[in-house]
Amino acid sequence: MPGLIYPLAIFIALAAGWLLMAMAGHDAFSVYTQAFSKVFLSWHGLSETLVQAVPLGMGALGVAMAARLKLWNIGVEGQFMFGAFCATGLALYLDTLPAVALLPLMLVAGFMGGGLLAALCGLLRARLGINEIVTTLLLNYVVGLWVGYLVYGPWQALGSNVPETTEFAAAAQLPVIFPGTRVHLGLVALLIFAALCHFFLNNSVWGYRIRACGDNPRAARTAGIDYKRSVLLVMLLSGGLAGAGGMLEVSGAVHRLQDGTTPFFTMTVFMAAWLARLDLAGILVAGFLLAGLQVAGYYMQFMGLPSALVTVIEGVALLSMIAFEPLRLNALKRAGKGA
Amino acid sequence: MPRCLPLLKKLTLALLLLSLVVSVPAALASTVKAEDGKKMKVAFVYAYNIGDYGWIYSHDQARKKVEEKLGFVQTKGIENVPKDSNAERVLTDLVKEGYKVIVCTSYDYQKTTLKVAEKYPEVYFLNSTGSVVADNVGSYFGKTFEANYLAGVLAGLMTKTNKLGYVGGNPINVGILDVNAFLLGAQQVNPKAELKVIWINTWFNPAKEREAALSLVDVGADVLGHDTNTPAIHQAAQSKGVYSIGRNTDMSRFAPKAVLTGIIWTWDGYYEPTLKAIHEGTFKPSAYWGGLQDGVVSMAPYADFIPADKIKIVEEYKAKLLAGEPVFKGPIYDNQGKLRVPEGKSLSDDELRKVDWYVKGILP
Repeated sequence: MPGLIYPLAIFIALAAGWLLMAMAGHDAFSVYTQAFSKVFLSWHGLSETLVQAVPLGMGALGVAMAARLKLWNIGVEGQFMFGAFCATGLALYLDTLPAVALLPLMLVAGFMGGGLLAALCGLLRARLGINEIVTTLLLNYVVGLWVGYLVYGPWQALGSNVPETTEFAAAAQLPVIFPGTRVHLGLVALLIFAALCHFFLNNSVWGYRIRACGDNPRAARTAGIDYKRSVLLVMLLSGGLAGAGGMLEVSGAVHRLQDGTTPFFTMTVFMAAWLARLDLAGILVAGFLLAGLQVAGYYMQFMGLPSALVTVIEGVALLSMIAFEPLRLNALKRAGKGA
Repeated sequence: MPRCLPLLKKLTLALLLLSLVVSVPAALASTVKAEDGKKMKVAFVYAYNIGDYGWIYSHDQARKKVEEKLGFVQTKGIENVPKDSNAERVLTDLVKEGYKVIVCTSYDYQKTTLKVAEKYPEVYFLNSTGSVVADNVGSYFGKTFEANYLAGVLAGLMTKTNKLGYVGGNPINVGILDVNAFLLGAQQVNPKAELKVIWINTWFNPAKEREAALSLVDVGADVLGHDTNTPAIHQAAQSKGVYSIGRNTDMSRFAPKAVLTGIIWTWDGYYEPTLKAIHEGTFKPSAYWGGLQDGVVSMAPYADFIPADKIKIVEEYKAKLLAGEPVFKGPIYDNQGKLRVPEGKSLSDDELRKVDWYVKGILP
């Protein structure tokens, strides 16, 4: 029975959305069928969903990595941007390198940039006990202003009034993997990162230590696990995943560094991580579905729904997924007892 | 079998039934509204919500007016389209949906507009605030500095401290022209006038706009101009008992005691002839930059507490502008003391697009 809860939650969400659309005088059935077929049944929509899923998936992996140690990395957006900034630096100044050398370098730079930024918060947490929620959150603003300074100033494309860098050289752009779409190598990178995270957390000694620290820090310390080093490592990896996501996005999809980020990035990646209960395969699915919802939102606007109504429907869908979570756990528990 | 399911079943059933009852009549009603397939489909792409009472609202008002006036167009506004990787998909999808003209209302879209336009030469793209031009891409903007000059004349007449304030979004060329013209206008009637500018590096952030406005009042500014997107500045001005100059749409409803007049967009002045030209096949892509006399930029009504003799002076300057007198006419010195426009000269449109200096009297 526990398996039934998710379909039921989706059904309730659809019904609630139906109700809202009906009240606003829209034909919900055709909105649903059209949006669904455009996003998931057409190659174009599907490919666009995959493009949007890459940054969401990477951010959600970062959130999940920190959450395994019961740390809240609210700074994924800042680390994402900082990773994008580091990768852009290489793209702009090492643009004579061939792609095989430049792209891996950019990925490492993005990972280390985001990772070190988060590790700074990890250090403050481990050494001085400063709450990582506050430090990671505040660094978002610092990074936002820093990138803003660059794209309005020294890095702004020559002769342009738009706050963005010039388009990256071809060697600094991740290649498209399905011709005719925008799906880029970042999708493969996302899958590899997810597999590495899975292996690291579930099959390595460090992963075991991290889970132990997360479940019971005191017991872990008593067992001789270095809690402070675990915090530092986890924050480095968490920020690194977000930073690598930033590199994949600028190099794969946007091809330039811009000021400002997607306003709901942090919220969406947290949603993806927690809908999946931090399960790494589940995160890929949740990231894909949330990306689909984002793409579908614009199709719903094409059909005449106002943007605000689309946002409400998206919110209701997510709310009912989460509201049903305790029921699912409950059912799991009962099923366990019955067996 | 978990015990909670019967309740859930009932709940689901009830919701389903309720939604059916409500939606069937609505669904029937909506199928009656048949769309006219012969009309020219025009999409307007917005970076934020329509409801900001600012930039986007002004475009959407013009969209509605144009749809009403021109029988042959059918329009749709798409909100909250970020300039990141989403923009390219939305523009492409609009082409696939059969839109003939796509109006991109933010300068942030310029590169994406060009990229998509290249792929679809049969579709026309109009991009505001930019200067991009291609075979099927035109750009357009308004000379807000002309209206700002007139607002400056009024501000120069109304100020008691001889200090004006300005909350700028981003220090781009057109924004710099606006602040320069604002002070030049004030200096026509009040040689002692000075101007303090704060750039907040965003177009839309009510909290920041308010904060900037209050700090300008703190340093003595008693008339505030702005080019950001919300009414926050006017509410701040009213709470401090100083004046403000509206922007984008008529802001007097938010702070009737503060707002003197405003610089308002009347984009239908551009959209109407342009869409007509596209429809008739006579459209020539250009970097359009219209002013007061073209009807793209207008002045909001004057507040009723302004003395009539002051309004008369502003109207005299307005008549001069409409007669073709330039705003940037020499001699103009920048705030470093350098002569930028010699006596007897004025700046051409191309020269105006390169202005990156502040006129004398703008405080650092």
